[in-house]
Amino acid sequence: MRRELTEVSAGDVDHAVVQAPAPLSARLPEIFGAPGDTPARLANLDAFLIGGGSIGMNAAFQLARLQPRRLSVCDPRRVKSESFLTHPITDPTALGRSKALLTARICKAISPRTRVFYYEGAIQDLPLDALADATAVWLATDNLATENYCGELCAHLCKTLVQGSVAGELLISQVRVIANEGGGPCLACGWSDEEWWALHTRTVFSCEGRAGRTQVAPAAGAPTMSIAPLCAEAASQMLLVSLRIALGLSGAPRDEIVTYAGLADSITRTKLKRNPRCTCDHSTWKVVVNAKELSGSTLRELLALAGVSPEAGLENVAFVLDDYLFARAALCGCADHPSVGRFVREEDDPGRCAGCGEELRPHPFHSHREVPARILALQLDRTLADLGANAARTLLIKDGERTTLVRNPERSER
Amino acid sequence: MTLTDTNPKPPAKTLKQQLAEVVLTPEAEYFLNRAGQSAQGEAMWRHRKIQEARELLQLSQLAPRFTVEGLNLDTEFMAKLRIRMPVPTMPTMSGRLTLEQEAQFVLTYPESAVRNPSPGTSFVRITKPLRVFHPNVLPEPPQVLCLGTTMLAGHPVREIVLSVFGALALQNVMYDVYDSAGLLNREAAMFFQQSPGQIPLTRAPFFAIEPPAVEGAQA
Repeated sequence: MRRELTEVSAGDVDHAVVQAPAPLSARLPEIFGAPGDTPARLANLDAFLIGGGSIGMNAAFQLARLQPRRLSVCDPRRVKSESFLTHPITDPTALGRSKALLTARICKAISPRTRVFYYEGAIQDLPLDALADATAVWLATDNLATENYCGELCAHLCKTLVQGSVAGELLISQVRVIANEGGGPCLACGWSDEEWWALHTRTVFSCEGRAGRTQVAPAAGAPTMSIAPLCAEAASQMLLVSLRIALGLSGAPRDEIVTYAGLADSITRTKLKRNPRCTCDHSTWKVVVNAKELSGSTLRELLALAGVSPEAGLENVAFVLDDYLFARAALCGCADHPSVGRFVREEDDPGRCAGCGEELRPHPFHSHREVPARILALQLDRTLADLGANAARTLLIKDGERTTLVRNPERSER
Repeated sequence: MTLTDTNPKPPAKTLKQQLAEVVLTPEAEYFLNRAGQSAQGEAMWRHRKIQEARELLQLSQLAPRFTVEGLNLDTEFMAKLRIRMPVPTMPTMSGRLTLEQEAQFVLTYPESAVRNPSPGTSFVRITKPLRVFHPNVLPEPPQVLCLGTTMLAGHPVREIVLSVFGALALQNVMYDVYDSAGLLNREAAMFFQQSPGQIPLTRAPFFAIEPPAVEGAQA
């Protein structure tokens, strides 16, 4: 089941909000080589941060001080006693609280003008368009499965991805910048054999709370062993690199790893290239904003946005509608499976069969998450709402090697 | 085998090797071709789906208890399968375990499972019987079967079928109520912990014909 980002309002903030925050210009230097519209560029930043831990929380607080337009934080974890060793937390009552919510509230307190959002969960749970408006995506997680997912998604959406990490035993902080401009590497292209091995052997999914959930996010990997200043160093590096990219400063890293080696006080830059053995999907998606809510559009209209002509045949066309299933038939106690022919979600009230009295559920063999378009060939002129998808946000249309993400005109947030 | 043995036995064939020697019947070949014609996706994925489907059909020719009832290779790989084996359902009021004699289930294998590790709950939904009473089966529709916390990337479908048999027959046991790994029905886990004599539900291997049904167990 897809979840949503939640906005933090000024009234939600625990800390005293700065009532009259100083403008950024009161301290913003004239950075050498920066364009004349630097304040506007910074004010227009929309950053999505995945991971609110020791690096991510540091990075979020620093970013908030630049007073961006929007900042979103996503993390499923809670503050533990060990978190106080590396996270920039000063409030002892933070123990046990959501890292995402805590980070978001503090960012809102720092910069009331910034719209701040959070999600207490895994990025895999969020809709595909959650990152679509972000200027850049920041990744600060020690979970390889999440890294892999974010790397692929940013490649699909052509989003610049900035990842911060540390190797505590060597006092190394590292920032990977993946430009995702087409043809270049993804995040995993630079993975070592050890990292691939760790992904495939150490990813563990939690079975707790399985009932009712379609997707189970991978449990976190081993915690990163580090010290507070090194994590802060990585966060600062992420921010400075992102700043250089946002301002178009010459020499800003693109498809590179920037490594600070604390034991030698040296900084090196290493180019990243597409790895032909990388098993990730590097395809780029075309992202289209629909003129109206998806639920009010017909499939024919939406396919046209993707350049698909039903008259040319739908044999190679498939689509994924949010977390909906298209149920052709239902499963109950009857030998014959009742016909359904609509989009349903797992959390929908299944109802009961009038014949046998059992719950009606989408029959797993006659239901599709990735729907072959040809089975809806006779329904192309019905709206998605008519077909049961009243709350659709995104439609992913696959036509051979082309993929188009169609989204609603405005991102819906609570 | 000793060092002086001049006639060493050849190593036992793997299941994959055994399946490769099975020639599909004309009906099975026709069934496979029809399913393969509507397979979508990149060439590698289409080929993978067809190959997995072929191995399932070969497996059904090797294992009398196993039947492939349906294949859908359009987008995800989907197979409707049946195994003749004892399947525990809700105990009676007196606590006697009820055993049905057949499991019907749907095995879904998405493309992402080829490249990434997946939760053990990703693949199998039991469609019959209803009200399966088993530590690793969700006690409500869609009766998800958990095959473990993580399934490795690219795990072959034939191995998943064998895992289903081993799990449902309780030949592979995951019922520790203090370890949530694989546990989807706590009540069933406690029942079988307290009735260890009933495990496994069958000792017959997958490739054998299932012996006649046994009496239900007392809780």
